[in-house]
Amino acid sequence: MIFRLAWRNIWRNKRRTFITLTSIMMAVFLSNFMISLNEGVFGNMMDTMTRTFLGHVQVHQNGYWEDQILDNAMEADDELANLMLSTKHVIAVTPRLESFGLASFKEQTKATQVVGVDPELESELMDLEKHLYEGRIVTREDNAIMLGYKLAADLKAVIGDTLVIIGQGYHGVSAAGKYEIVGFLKLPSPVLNRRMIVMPLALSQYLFSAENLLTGYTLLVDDTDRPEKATAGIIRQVDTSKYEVMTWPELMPEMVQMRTTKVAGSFIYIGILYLIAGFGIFATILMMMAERSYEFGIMLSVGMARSRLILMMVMETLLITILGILAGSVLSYPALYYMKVNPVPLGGVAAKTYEDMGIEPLIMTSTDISIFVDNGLFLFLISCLIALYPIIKIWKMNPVEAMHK
Amino acid sequence: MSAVIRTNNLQKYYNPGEPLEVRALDGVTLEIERGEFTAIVGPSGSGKTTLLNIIGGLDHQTGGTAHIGDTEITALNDNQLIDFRLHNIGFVFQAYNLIPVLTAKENVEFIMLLQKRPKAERDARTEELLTEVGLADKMNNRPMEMSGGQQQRVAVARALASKPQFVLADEPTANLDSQSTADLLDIMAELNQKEHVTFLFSTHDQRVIDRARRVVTLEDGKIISDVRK
Repeated sequence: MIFRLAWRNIWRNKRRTFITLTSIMMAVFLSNFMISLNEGVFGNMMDTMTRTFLGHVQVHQNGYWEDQILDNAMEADDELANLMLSTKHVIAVTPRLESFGLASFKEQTKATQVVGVDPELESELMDLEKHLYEGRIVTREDNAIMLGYKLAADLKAVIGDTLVIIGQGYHGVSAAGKYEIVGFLKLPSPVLNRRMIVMPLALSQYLFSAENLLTGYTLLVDDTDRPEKATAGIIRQVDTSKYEVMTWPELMPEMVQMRTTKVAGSFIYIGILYLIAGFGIFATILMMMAERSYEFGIMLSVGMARSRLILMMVMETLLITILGILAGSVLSYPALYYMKVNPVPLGGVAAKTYEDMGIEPLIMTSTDISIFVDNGLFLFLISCLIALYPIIKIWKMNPVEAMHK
Repeated sequence: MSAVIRTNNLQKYYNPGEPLEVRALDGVTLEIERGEFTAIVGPSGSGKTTLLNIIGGLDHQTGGTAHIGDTEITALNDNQLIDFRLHNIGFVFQAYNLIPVLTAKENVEFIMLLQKRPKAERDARTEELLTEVGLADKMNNRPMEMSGGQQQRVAVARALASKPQFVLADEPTANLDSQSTADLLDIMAELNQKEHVTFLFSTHDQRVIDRARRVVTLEDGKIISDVRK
């Protein structure tokens, strides 16, 4: 009976209810859109950075990440690699040797990031096959290299050309070599496409005089958002005085910070939206309370307990909010889903700004259920606070005075 | 005959002890027997509504006592009063008595739902009461689909739904035309005579006064006459 009363009461003034519902719906729609856009763009960036290159976890010799030089490299250790691979939540482990060098072709010279990889083990991480833009991928035994496609364009090199790499090897030994270009890579990171050279691990160890050395192991885990679930198991098993085990938020704190700043900025906007919606709900409840004072007096007079009357008003408040949240979510989901599967490419200055930040210049959305749930819950919480007003008013209500108003 | 309502030296003072003290009720002692059909009359501000509110457990007295049956209603707290009203007193107010979003049937049933009576009993009692007030064919109409007189008849049916010890009616005909007033009074008089329902009205309406079998007149918060016809 209480629910029936509450439901019918909210439709007593249809126009007012529709206006309130519309304000909640628009607030939910716009805040869903805003958060989805942030999550989409940054989520895509984080995901591509971690899945295609950085990994979710990296294990290095202690001090390497602070001072990324080959002198801080570690011994390749199959036993350690197998131990990590057998740890719960770890999907893949791949060894790498990374350093920097100048790449030269004809009159062009570029600063590059040289990455020695095991092409077979990388299938689960960088997935060279998938990101092959032109040519072929390198094999373990090759004396050849692959380039980011933009680096190739900058150097004006084509497949079959020979590139010279000059750098500094282990313990200050000079590193130099010339290698045939067999393939170009197109990775979802503008920075990597412009800077990266990939070569077989053994070849890179030879180039940098770093025999059997690695700069670290790169790991993929089954829960991107909670890499610490995997690292907890690894830390228990490895010698942490010798190795550092780092999760992706520790590996790229500036990205996490950038994302946090962006999200914090959008919360101001979302806060204004919620404020508007909150006042909409409050105004409606205020009017409903004021115009039904006599009716509440009658209900209390004939013996309706205050608790039931309060329950009815709380239900009315929450029903309006829930309907608005549902309508807003139903309206926003298809739009967000469409933008997720059809990301909008950016052009001009905006695209360049994104690329400079290492982000793909795409307007992309996320349809993660948590966006809808979090937004809904927040508005629901606001509604619960608003419901305090009828609770207090009814609790203090004198039926005789209520009927006189 | 036993007394359903007993008041003893009932007082209601506003701003007591101050220069602007108002004595809405000033020592009212009254007994209403079971089955009486009584009108409380008097000019505006004489204390009629205040007396009904205290007897009905809607307001608190400044002094004196009021008993309903064996219960001293003036000694009950707010929660006890709500429960007492639900089970012992039927109310008919001036106007807009009904819950607008409920049908006539649901309005009558409402009290019994609050009393947690079984559905079969609720259905039977609702039909019986609406038939008695001549609105069996309006069961599914909402208040806005009925005339003022019809709404007051539903209010009477609702007041009786809880099988109360008595019905308090505060100016029930104030907003009704002659025919509706006559119809409502006929129904209440019939219920009073056939089922011995006790009615206590406050009224200005001469038509109600004419039909009452006892008329208590208040002035300045005091009973100045009490006439049984």
